[in-house]
Amino acid sequence: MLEIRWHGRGGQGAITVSKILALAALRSGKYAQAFPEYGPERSGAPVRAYNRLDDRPIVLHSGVYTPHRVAVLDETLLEAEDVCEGLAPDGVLVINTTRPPEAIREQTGYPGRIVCVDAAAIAEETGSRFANVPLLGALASTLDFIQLPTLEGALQAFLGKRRPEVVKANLEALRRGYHETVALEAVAPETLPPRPRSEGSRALPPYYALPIGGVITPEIRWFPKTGGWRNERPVFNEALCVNCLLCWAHCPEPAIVVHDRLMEGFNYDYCKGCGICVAMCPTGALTMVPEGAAELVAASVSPNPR
Amino acid sequence: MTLVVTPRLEAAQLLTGAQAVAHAMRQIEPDVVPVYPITPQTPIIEEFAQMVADGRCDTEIINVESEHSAMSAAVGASVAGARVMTATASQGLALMIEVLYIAASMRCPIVMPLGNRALSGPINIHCDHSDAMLARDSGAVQIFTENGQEAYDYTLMAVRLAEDQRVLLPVIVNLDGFTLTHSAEAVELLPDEVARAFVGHYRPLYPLLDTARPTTQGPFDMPDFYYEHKRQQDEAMRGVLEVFPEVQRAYAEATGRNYRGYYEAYRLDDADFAVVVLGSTAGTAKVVVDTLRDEGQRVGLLKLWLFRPFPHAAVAEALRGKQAVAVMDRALSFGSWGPLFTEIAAALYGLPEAKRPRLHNFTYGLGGRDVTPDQIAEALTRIQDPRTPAVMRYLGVRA
Repeated sequence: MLEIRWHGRGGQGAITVSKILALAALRSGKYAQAFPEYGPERSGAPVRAYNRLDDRPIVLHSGVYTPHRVAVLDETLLEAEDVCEGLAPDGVLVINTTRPPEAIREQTGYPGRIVCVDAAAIAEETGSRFANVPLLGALASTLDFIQLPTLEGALQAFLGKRRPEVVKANLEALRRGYHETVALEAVAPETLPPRPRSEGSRALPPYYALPIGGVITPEIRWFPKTGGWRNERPVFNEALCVNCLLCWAHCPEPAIVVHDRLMEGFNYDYCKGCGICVAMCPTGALTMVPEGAAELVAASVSPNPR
Repeated sequence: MTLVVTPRLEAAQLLTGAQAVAHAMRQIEPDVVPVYPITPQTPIIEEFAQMVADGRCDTEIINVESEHSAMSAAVGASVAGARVMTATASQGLALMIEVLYIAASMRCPIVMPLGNRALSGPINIHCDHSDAMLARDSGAVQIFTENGQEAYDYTLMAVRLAEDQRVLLPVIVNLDGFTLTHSAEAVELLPDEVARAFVGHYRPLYPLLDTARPTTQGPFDMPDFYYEHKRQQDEAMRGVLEVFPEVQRAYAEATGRNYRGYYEAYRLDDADFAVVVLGSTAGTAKVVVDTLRDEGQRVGLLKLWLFRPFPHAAVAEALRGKQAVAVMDRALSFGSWGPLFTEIAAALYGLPEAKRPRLHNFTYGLGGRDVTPDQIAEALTRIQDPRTPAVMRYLGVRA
């Protein structure tokens, strides 16, 4: 039995590619499962999907805890979660990144085989838009029992009657993902420097320690604030702002900081990165930037004098 | 030996069960009472609303457009930090059920008299326990009362029980529709100051209106927290088995009225055959027990006050060694045994076989069908024949 865990964010297509992979496995003579980790189904929040592939019928319906493959659709998840949790040293970590596998090994401390693919760039160049399909290609390239034509067939089955150029772009993205990987072979774990335990492996409190009735009190710090949803953040260019406060009026969370009717910036503790403020802004004073780049952009904005 | 309360004639008033409960509500003086009228609960709230209108107690009555809203408003007010009561019956409770589960899970100590009435359809406004059984697994504590006096006393005790920090759950006080709500009997009320001192002042644990300590209430739970909250809730419910007798003792100290234990055992100790009932039928059953005892039959009665949580161990002890037990259900669980019967059966299962009574289930009194002494005598007589097979029987229905 081979088990796979997909890490993505709501809307990035992790669940879809897990199903495409399962179909390809079925067509390759394997029994297959694809299942998501159901949540509040919100765009941008970390989501997981899973595959189980086997020569024999799969009757197990519990979760996957020790995957043989982990596929990461969004590099920012390396900070939000412990993507290597339960991943065996003889497994494979497949990740969408612009960085070399050595950098991923340094960040994650994972001693096994690491396969990097710039899936975002492939999606952009082919016009397939989403990184999930090229990442699927990259992951499938690590499975010897699924051949590329079978995978292409499964993808086409899922694309159905989409326009021909969409199908073509996705097939091209899949092929490029399959071939354009950069791999780093596994090393003995003891050759890597020791790492502090990640934040992602925090223990949850026992039942008697919880406030009753689901009440959340000011003391509760079990989870990060809503910022954990974000992979892009809005940034503020004060020079272009006319203080119309449309952003403030439309923000679904109290994440726009306004004093004396003047826009002052964001409370990133509660900003979910939904982008509504940016869509509402009539002057271009607000823009969305990827999480990693946000600090650079933020530094380029003149400090608020108010 | 269980002690029960009999109103003293010189101090008693002629009150319907509804009036008695309304007086209890007046003395409790809840901060908020959201209500929607439904037969046979209506006179409870009519009486209480009149008392509020007359300035006899300071309560915010909220007239809502349905029982779903009544319970929703009750949850909102309770979470805000108010002492809250409401009342309902039958379809009203059915409409509340969705929110009653939420009230219980949010640990809102809402006290609610329930004028027991059949569920539709066919539409029927008369008494049975189908409505209470609908709320069986909602997480609300359930007390059943035999007469107006008990309905009054347990409404006061329900407040202390609900608001105990080990409990913090809704409490339903069941009183049989019409048989109790609309029937006038002698009831002895407590002096206002005694009742008020007993229920005391409510101190909410997490009042939402405490802006110095902001809280989020009623949030979303993922699989990693929901189960833990349910375990908390279940332990709180089981904790009622400890708190309930404490509240009874406190009530006895404050008022001299001795309610002791989860049930009343009437001539049960030396009985070979027993009948188990909820609610007003217990009174009729006492008459039957006395009559049969006069004929030399060793019969007794177990009348449960507490139905949720169910006092399995105490019930097993009370019925241990009886030859046969007739469990009287005033509700059907279609396709299964009666709801009370399944609890009694579960309670007795742990007894050694030699001490385990034969069990019989009788359904009776649905939709207000009169419950006569003859029917109860029939049940108590039938179970004495060991050849009587243990199948569910219908008492008082046309064959």
